[in-house]
Amino acid sequence: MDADARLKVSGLVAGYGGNDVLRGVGLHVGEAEIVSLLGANGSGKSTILNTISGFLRPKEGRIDLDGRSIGGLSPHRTFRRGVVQVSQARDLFGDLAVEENLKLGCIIQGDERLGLDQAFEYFPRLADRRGQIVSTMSGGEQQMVAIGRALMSQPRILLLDEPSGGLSPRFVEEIANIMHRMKADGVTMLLVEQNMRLALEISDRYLILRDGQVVDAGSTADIEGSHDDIVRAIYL
Amino acid sequence: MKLTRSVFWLLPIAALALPLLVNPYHQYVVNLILVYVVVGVGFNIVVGNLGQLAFSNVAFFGIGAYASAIFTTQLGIPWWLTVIPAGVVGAIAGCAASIPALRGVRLFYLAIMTLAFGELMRWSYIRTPALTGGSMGLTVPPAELFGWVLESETQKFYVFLVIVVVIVVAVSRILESRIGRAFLSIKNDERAAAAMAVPTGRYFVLAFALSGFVVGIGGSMYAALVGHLSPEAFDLVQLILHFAIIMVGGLGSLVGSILGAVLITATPELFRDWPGFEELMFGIVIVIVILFLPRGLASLLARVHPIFKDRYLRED
Repeated sequence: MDADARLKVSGLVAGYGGNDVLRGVGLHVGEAEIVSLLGANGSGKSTILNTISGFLRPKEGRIDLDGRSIGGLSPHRTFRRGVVQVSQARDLFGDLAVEENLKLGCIIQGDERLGLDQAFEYFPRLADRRGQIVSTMSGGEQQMVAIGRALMSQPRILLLDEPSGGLSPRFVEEIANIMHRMKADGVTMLLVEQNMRLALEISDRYLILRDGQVVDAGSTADIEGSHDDIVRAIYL
Repeated sequence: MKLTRSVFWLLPIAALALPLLVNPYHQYVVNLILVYVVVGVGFNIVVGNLGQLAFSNVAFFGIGAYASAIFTTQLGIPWWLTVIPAGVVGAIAGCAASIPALRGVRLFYLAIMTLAFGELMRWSYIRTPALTGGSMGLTVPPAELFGWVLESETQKFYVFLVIVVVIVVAVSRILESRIGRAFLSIKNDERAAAAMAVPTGRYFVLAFALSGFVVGIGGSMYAALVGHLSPEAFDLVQLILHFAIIMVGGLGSLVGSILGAVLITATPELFRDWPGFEELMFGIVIVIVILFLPRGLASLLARVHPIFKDRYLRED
């Protein structure tokens, strides 16, 4: 499993200024697998995603995608290799229409027509609003545009940073359904999510981070009954 | 019958009959409008589409004009063969002007640095008399096209009209392509564009070079039109004129560049018989348009019919 992982991270040390937020993190994500990163605020979840996608330079350690090192590459080179991140801020172009935002997802690579077809298949609501200016949409709809845009370039792995953050329960459910479909279609994902129920429902495996280190990991299929043990591992 | 954008072709077709309706002086003004359409289209690429406060446009305009004139006078190349080279020299100047932006200079700092570039070029025209004629200026031989001398304003008009149509169509195609979308993404949110792997630096250079190319061609047309170049023609007043064209027309709008060039060039001419009044009216027109149509004349047309709604003209 580990040897032919799509994404493999080992001994990763990274941080901001002199502070190391990640202190020797290791993880792997297999093809068509969904792995969730769980942890309290400040445990280093988003920092892992930012380091993998090239926005933060690793101080130590390796990041391999399909067996080739991508550690330390600039964000646009990392993107070219197939690592696409949907950040918490979503990074959408608020003054542009839905379709223009989506098309920008494959400005470097990918087929516009195929990408649009796929995005509208996942998110039929966006097809009806392709001409709408994104800043006039609700948070949930903007999240759909962000995920749809990320899929436009046919990524090797999708990094999702709190896709349900700040959304109403109705939209959380809608996003969950779409992620189930993406999983069925074989989209590989590394997910950071505070909504533990959602994370464990759609993931194959989970990792728990505390103080920049992986303190626990397991298969979601092995979890029986309540999530008390996981909550304890995260916060206590 | 549903109107489509193909109706825009009626405009140059109708313009073919214009020389029948105007006297030679008014024909000269119309030719000047065509020069400023090209200048406006080029300027709008960096300011309206890329969203950068860069004022190196007069430098591109002067460089294109002098390049064309120098190629003609010093090398004996007929004018029509200097148009593209003038654009290329303008594009090289555009690459040079993009350097501050590549180093992260933005907003007012970029404005002042690019403004300084224009002034530096004006200083260069004065200080290189062997090439440019210095402060005395440079007389440009009559423009030639395939051996024919373009003696009348009408002849120049038809040549200029072809250039304008080619440039407007080409720039429109570019702005509707991935390149145009990349410019828009940078204008909208440079950080988000970088996150989507848009190589922002490369597109900065491309936008400045494209702008320099188009405005350089405008400069070459200007040299052919006026027949004499002097450094004063490329001062801050010229820059204000260019800026007024895109502001009044509509930032980021091709239709706006055309409307702005018509209004800003024609207004002073309408009041030519009342000395001193033309500058006053020039100022009043700018104030009125910006006060009542902050997104320019193009936004007014967009209200009339959707075909005028430029997809690059956004609500602010």
